[in-house]
Amino acid sequence: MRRWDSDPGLRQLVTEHRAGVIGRREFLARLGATTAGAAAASLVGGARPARAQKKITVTMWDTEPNPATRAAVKAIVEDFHKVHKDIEIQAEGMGWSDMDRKLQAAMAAKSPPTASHTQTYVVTSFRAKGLIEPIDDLVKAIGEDRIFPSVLRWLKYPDGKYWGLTHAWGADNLGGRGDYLAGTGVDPRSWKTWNDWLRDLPKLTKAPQYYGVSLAGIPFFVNEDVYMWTGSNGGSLFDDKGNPALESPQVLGMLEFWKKVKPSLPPGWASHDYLETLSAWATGKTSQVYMWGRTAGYIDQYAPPDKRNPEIFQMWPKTIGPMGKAPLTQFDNEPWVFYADAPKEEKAAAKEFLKFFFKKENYRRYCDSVPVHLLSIFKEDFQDPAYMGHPERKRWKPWLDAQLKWVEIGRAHPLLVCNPQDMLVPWIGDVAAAPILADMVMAVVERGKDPKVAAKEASDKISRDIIGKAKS
Amino acid sequence: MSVRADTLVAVPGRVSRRRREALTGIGLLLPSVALVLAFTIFPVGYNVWLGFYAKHSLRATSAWVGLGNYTQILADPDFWRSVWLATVYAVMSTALQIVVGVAGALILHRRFAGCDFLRGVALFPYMIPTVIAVFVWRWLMNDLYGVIPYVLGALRIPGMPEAWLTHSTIMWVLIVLSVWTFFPFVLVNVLARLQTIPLELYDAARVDGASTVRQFVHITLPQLRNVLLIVLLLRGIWMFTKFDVPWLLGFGGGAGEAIRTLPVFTYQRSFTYYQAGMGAALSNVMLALLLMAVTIYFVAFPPEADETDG
Repeated sequence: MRRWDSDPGLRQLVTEHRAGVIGRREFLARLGATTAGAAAASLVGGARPARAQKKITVTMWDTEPNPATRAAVKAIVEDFHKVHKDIEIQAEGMGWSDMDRKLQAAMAAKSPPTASHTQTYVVTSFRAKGLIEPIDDLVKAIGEDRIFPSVLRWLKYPDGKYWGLTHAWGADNLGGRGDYLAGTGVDPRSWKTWNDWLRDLPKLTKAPQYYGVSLAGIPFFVNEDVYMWTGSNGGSLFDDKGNPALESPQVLGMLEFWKKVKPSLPPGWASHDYLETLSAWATGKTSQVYMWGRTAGYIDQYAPPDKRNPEIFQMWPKTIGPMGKAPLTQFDNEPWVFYADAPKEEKAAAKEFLKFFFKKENYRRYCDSVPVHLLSIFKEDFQDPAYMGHPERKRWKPWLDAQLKWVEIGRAHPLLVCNPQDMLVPWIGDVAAAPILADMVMAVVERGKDPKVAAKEASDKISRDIIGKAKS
Repeated sequence: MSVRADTLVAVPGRVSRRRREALTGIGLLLPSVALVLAFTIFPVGYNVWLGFYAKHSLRATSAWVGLGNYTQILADPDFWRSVWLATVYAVMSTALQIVVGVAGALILHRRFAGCDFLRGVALFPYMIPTVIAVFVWRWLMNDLYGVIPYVLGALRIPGMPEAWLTHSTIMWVLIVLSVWTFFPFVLVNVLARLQTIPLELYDAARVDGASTVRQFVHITLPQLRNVLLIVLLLRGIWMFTKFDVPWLLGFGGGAGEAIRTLPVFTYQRSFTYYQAGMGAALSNVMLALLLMAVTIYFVAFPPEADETDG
């Protein structure tokens, strides 16, 4: 839409009115005449139809609120506006919990954003409820063949369609303090099984100075350990029909394992949130932590300057449970999804924006805003010296390599997905959001309940409160 | 005084003036009525209506389940546990707020050097945004970095826990934190009332040889009765329905499981289980519980006229 000040006549009129040269009555009379004239001129002059001139406003919510990423997104949006003057992108970054609440309110009111980030497992829940729509055209336009197969596989469903597009990926790793190994005789490279790890945990604990490992006690993060350890023990949280499989030997084994880990945890672990575990590792209060690439920022913020390097903050191997064959880790491949209730023209405009966003020069700015955490979805970038040569990526190369290894061996799965078929469980997102799994762990580890009893209670709750409601 | 005959017959002009005045009055009331309807009656009514439906929070559709939500609530042990936790929290924190608030008011009622400064400072905890107060306490009590566990550990007091934000102790932290945050409300109300008690009452008691304790029991407390009852009622309701403090301290899980009070439980049903209908039913139950408690309260403590008023 044209602005009023682009018309010289209108501009002159407003200037005269503001300066007091003409009164209100005369201003209004001349304004009517001027705008009528302009309208007539536009008809005669073959101006674009009013419909084509209407600016399309697109609302896009993402979950990268940190200032560096916001600045990158803002710059990309501004550049997009320069070439698409008919589209207004309103990109808003927010934390996960804010996004969850805002989405709930917006969807209940049938007024969702045009597109947003979400968790991978949520795609399944949204898809099952008819809340989102496939975006094959977008994935193909950006270059299906260029994207890591491990990234794409989680968003392609049995109908052969892509229901989301990952904005950037990362893999969870076990971080360990190299400086705490001295004199312990511990060699983390030799770890293969849970027993190996449990054997060495006490040697890496020197309470109250530091503890063997930090885990977060907040439900969302407890869920992460529940499924990663269950998956590493060869099990799953769901059976073939999507019913809870919490009474399986693999899940019960995971609960018994957690009890054995507990003596090496900080005494207040059950109230720690995820960021507290990262700062505990950075400041030396814990030997090990489950972490993402973003942790590099915490190290630079909290660790002593002479220790801010991958020789001190090392990547250690994740181990396998007695019933498992390979360790499992969490895959962070949050995708863009498009909402079914959003207007068509907005969705088309949002796709235009994402095509622009994923162009090399733009996407690089985005990834470089958190270089070791927002990893590129394009395979070619990891062969590109310019991408790999970023100072932060060079500095934390062992972390990058550790993440790539998970993608290569295909053992990085989205939250709660132990087996690929779990991605099709329609209530997987609801189970992830509820505190049921965390309550099960707390009942066993903190309140001494028999794992079988706790697992049965949790199983019943999922069947009654989530699956029962979904089916009804 | 004589009455003129024309005042006894209906005068059209006067009737229409009365009607005009009545219409003006109604017109002036309408905005308030509309606001009350829109922001109080409608939400409560909608919530009652929603309680009879199974509604997923993400969907615009819903299904009628009648009393299904209520029967499920009453059969759920987690619900009864949350009612118990909310009751423990409300009773303990309200009682301690009143004890600390009254004690503080009695101290600040006296004139001494720095009294005015202390009166201002005493309000600080109540003025701090809740989220900041709770996060400050989370750090103070943190087992790895917290000042309080460090000091208590250094004192080597037997039986002192290693960590405070755990299943067995987090309720105590919640109560102490809430007392610290909200006692100024009691203090301000009691202090205001203390300053209006006639000094002659104390003079007469002293002449009769009453000790300080007897003066407190026989003069101060009866004079404070009405304000204390109001404070007890308001703080009791507010603590029973308090959501932000227990949520921010425990996030509804982990050790926070031990402070999953009824409002937190209700919130989780609505926004983490995505059961909007169940959440609405729980809110209605909470309202009913409060109405019952308030009714019992008014039967036990009927309002009476202030002794100094008459």
